Amino acid sequence: MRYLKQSLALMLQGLVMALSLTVVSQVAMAQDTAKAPPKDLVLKDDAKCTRCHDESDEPKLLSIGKTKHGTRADDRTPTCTSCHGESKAHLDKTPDGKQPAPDRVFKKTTPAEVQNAACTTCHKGGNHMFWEASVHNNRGLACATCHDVHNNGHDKVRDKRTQTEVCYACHKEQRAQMSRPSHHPVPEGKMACSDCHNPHGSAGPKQLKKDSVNETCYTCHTEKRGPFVHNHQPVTEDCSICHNAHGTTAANLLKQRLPLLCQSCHSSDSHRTQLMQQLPGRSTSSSALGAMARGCTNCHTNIHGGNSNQNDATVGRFRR
Amino acid sequence: MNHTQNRFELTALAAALMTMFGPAMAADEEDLGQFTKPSSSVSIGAGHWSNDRPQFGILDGMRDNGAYLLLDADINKRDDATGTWNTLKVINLGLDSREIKAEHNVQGKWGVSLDYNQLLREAPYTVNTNLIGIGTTTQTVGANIATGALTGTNVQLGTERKKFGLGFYKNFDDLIPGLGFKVNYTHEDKEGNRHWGRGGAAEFAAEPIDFTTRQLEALLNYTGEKLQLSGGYIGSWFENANKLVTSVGASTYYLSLPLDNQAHQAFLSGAYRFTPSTQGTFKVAYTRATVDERIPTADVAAIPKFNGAPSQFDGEVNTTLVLLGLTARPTPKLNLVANLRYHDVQDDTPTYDLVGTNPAGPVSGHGTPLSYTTKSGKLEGTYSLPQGYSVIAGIDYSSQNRTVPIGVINTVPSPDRDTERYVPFRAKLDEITYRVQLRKSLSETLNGSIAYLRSDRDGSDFSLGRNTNGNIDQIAPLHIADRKRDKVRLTAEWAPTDALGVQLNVETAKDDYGMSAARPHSVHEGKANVYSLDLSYRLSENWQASAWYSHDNNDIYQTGRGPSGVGIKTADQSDTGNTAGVNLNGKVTPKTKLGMDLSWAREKSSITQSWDSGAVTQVPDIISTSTRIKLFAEYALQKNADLRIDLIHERWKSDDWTWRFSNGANFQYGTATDGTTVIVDPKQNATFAGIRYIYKFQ
Repeated sequence: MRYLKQSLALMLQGLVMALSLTVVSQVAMAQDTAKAPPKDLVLKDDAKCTRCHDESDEPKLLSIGKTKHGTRADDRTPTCTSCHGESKAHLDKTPDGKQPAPDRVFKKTTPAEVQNAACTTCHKGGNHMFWEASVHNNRGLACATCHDVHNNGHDKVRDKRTQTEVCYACHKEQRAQMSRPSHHPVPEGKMACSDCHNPHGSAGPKQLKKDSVNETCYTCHTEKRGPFVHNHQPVTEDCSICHNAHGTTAANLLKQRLPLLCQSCHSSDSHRTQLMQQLPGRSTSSSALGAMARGCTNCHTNIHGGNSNQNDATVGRFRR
Repeated sequence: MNHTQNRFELTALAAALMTMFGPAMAADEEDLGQFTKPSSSVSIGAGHWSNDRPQFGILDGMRDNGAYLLLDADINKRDDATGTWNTLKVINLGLDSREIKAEHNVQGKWGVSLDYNQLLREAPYTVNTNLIGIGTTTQTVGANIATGALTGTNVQLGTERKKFGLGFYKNFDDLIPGLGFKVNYTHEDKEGNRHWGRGGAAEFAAEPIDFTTRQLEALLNYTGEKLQLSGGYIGSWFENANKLVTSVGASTYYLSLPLDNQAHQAFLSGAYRFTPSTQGTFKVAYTRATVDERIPTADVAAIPKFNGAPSQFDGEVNTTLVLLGLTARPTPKLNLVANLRYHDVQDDTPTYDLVGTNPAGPVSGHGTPLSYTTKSGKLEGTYSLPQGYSVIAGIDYSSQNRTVPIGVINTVPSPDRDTERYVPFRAKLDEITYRVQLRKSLSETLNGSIAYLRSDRDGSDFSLGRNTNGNIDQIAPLHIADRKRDKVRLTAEWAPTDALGVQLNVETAKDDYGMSAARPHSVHEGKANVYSLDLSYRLSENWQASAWYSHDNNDIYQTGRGPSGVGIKTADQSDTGNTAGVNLNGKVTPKTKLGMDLSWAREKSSITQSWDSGAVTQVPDIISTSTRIKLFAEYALQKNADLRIDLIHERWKSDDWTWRFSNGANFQYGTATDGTTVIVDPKQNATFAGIRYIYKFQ
């Protein structure tokens, strides 16, 4: 038994020695291997960056590989240095051992135009045609204010279910309005701010994708485009005269409850002058129903325009 | 982090270990792939709502209580050698509001996509009615329902959109570097029923919706170093399967519906960089929108026709846009933006004689083509000051020429009145806006801005409308009245530590409408304020929290003639909103994530009325409160699979009396009607529990 134990101990020692020798020799060989240029991990020519910024450092940086920017087969895609600059000082370190930041970092302390220069080298024209003149550009927004390039394959602002988290960072009034009972399906994640607005600038008002408010609305509400045989003037001019697209307490995104909204143009005589009232019971009185049910549109049901030639009471007043 | 100092040694050791444990390193490469290769996931599960959700469920496809299949997928595959992507996104496949999108593209070369979107919108109430023929073009008023009885049929009004889309792009870099072509086509069917009226007295009807909209967009883009161009064609076709509804009741009414219309736009936009700091932009677009349809009432024998009335409607609106812009940085500290814009919406529809006082005339009603020509311009400068400060000053100007509809000119009591128009109107409207803003940026800790805006709108003299008793002249319509607007906007972002962020936003605006002795009525004054506070805090490496609160109010003071035109009435309206949210999420163990999201909103609408010639009964305030709390827990069953549990509780409470009589009863149409009732549930609570298995792969 004692002999067996000694034999096992000797074998174990031998194994450890052999293993150690192997490791030592492999390390020695590896010294040579290490002199070879390091391998790119994600982007073209990224080895000089990823030799430090590897998965053990900050995996999120590597996640650019999951995105379109990381598609190396597309020769338009960037290298690390296309965006961050050659960053020689960052690579070499200073004599006192400190390591300056890369030439271009995407932080709020970097001027937006410096940050954006990295993006607009490629992202120009098309949807970005009016970026330079846009409100967002001229209020100092950087592309990275909204976009997350190293994004694990998910850029919040490009997903309609999460886009508002980005937009509401500045647009607080719209955040409050979207929580009103009447709203577009934005909180439900079925529609995004960018369905109507181009945050990169446009030829339309309020950075709308289309050239006017009405053209934007007609994208989904085509039946309102007309023209109608008999047009309701404000409808032809601007939907936002009566509606607030971001949300209201009144139904159908109306800016005011009826009849007050209608009375801002029509309050001269007859039932148009009625007071708001909550009725005690059933009524067909057009002088009493302006505030209840569908208000004025209880009767003036074709308020967006009519295509009848029945008589002037029904054509001109959008009842049929 | 900085590992440079260990680079040589670590790399050497890594190389040694690679030699020894090659297969293990291959596995490590696979591990690296999880950070660098597109990732995919499929999630399947089930959930259950405990109650109906008429308010919260208007748009999310889960209005009714019961079980729902939860099925989502986000599949992203890329062939690294060729840059070929195949993606499939499936959102809410198990719900009636669902989306599917598939794409195949060779990045930078060509691509094709196919998508399907379905969106349900359901009215937040139930209609109890005897109306026969809902969903058709002949609707017959049914037997009268007694007061308070709900003996009719319960009907759920709503619409459903189903949209198919097809997209294709191809880059022609081989032909001309920077040249690309893109085309998108969508086909949408929208069907359902919308709350409507019979067009006589207030009576229930349901507009049958059977719309088809097709849109085509074909673009040619060129992106060069200095010059970028984008031009193309956008076509849009709307078709309505129904043109007229015959509503049969004590009287038979004929209700017209939107007619088929189409619009064609050709456009070209571009940008040119004159110097590194100067860029010009432009856009020109021409749109022709038409309707070429038979007037639906023209063939109804029961409707007496004016002898000169057309039976065919040839509507045509031509829109021209010209935009010229310039941005420049004449000095390193000064940035300028300027543009000129011409937007002309020209309604070229003939002004038809539509109706007469009798078939033989004289004419008493015309079509109403309306045109608007707007010329506007903007000049803005940003000047950089030391320490991250900058000043922005700008001026916007707009001048609009507007068609004043003229039907029949009345000669009595004065020759300048239009007997068909019910409001005074203006032929010209001008507005000028001055803006100034001080900004602080580029700081790690404190950034923000304060801005002031002043705008002044006025216009030409008012053209008078139909005048039966003189009162119509007394209105200055809201959208064309003289108006002075003042607005102040303050934003501040403070980050005292890396962990804490505080954001304060204040906006206040005031509109003063210029009332005159001749036109003293409509909105006199409007005020709007928004105050918001946002906090974010990183509690630890694994836990984050955020919270926000907003208070806003909108006040409007309005006057008009009193009931039957006697005296003057006033209305003070105030809408006050309070909204808040709290979010907390983090990891309790390396495998377990927890999260909570609370949102709360309370809106109050108050209206105080007065009348100098009689008694007024004030209407009750309307207060609506919504609360929703969401909780989730996600547990990593294994490296590539999670189990997620969601719990949601939501509460809605509203005393909105739009559909409720003062005695608390449901709104019911008048005694002379079929007695249709609209049922609203003022208190709604529902709880959702869902569980899903999430499988992740690459």
